Amino acid sequence: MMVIEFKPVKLDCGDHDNDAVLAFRDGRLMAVLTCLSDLHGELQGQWFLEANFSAPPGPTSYKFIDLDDAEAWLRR
Amino acid sequence: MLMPANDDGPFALLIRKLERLAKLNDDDRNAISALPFNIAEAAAGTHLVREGDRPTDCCLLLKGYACRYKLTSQGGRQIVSFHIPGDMLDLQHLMLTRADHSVSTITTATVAWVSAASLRHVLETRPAVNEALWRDALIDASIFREWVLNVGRRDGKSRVAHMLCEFAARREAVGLGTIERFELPMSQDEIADATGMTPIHVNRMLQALAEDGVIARNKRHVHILDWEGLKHAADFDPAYLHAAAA
Repeated sequence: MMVIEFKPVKLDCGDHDNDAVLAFRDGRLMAVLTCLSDLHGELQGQWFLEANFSAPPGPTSYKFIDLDDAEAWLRR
Repeated sequence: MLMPANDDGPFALLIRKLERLAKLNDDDRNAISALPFNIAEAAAGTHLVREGDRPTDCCLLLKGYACRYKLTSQGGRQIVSFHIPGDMLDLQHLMLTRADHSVSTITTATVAWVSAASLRHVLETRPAVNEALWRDALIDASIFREWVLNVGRRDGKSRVAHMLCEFAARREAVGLGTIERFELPMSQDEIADATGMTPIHVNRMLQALAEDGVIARNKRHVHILDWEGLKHAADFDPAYLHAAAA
């Protein structure tokens, strides 16, 4: 059974979209997901696929409603 | 639907554009004005040409805005150009029978469909018109080359800034308004598909350009506060637009 873990980090990217998680599968970094800030209006709080190292191709919107949604995709 | 697009006839913008590309005389202008045409109104998102079509008419954009795009087999869209009134959207169908990309409106639009055979006849009999449309096609190719550079080698902020600069410069050149203020006809999704980015990145880059003080934005209304600053951010040199820029 693969282990999926999220490690909260702060992105050094200016004044917006600083909250992110590193997504690991069995200890290996798969992706970086950013929590969208109020800059993005109604999308605030959704998780954006910022970088993808070894995960399957993301959804065309590159967004997830929450981290459970993101985890389901990471387990594919 | 048959109706005149404006008081000058449907070819006024095209003639004005071609006059910047070659020296036309009255016979050249009359030959263009006499071309048979059908006017059509199109809602935003209407396909004018689909990849694989074999068009017999060429499409001249009279009002509104359009884009050309290609799709990956997975459905990913790359917009390869935006178009403004006076542009021939599929000039290549004068010479190539099968559409190798799609053309769609991005706003409500008015277009004139012009028989390719009639237009070919004008090219055969009016060398100056032929020369002007040749130059138009070559400028299109130059713009495509610049877009490859933009998408392939510029950072996100430069890509978005470059698209704004090109749109502002081309719009001004055809007399659609000043360079400083305009309504952006493209959605953030369309800008994303034109710049090879996600809509999230486009939103961030527009915000970054506003924070840099080069643009101010209220929804789709764009006010260029610092044209030189925006050009610098964009790495924009209008030389590639040739006569398509003022």
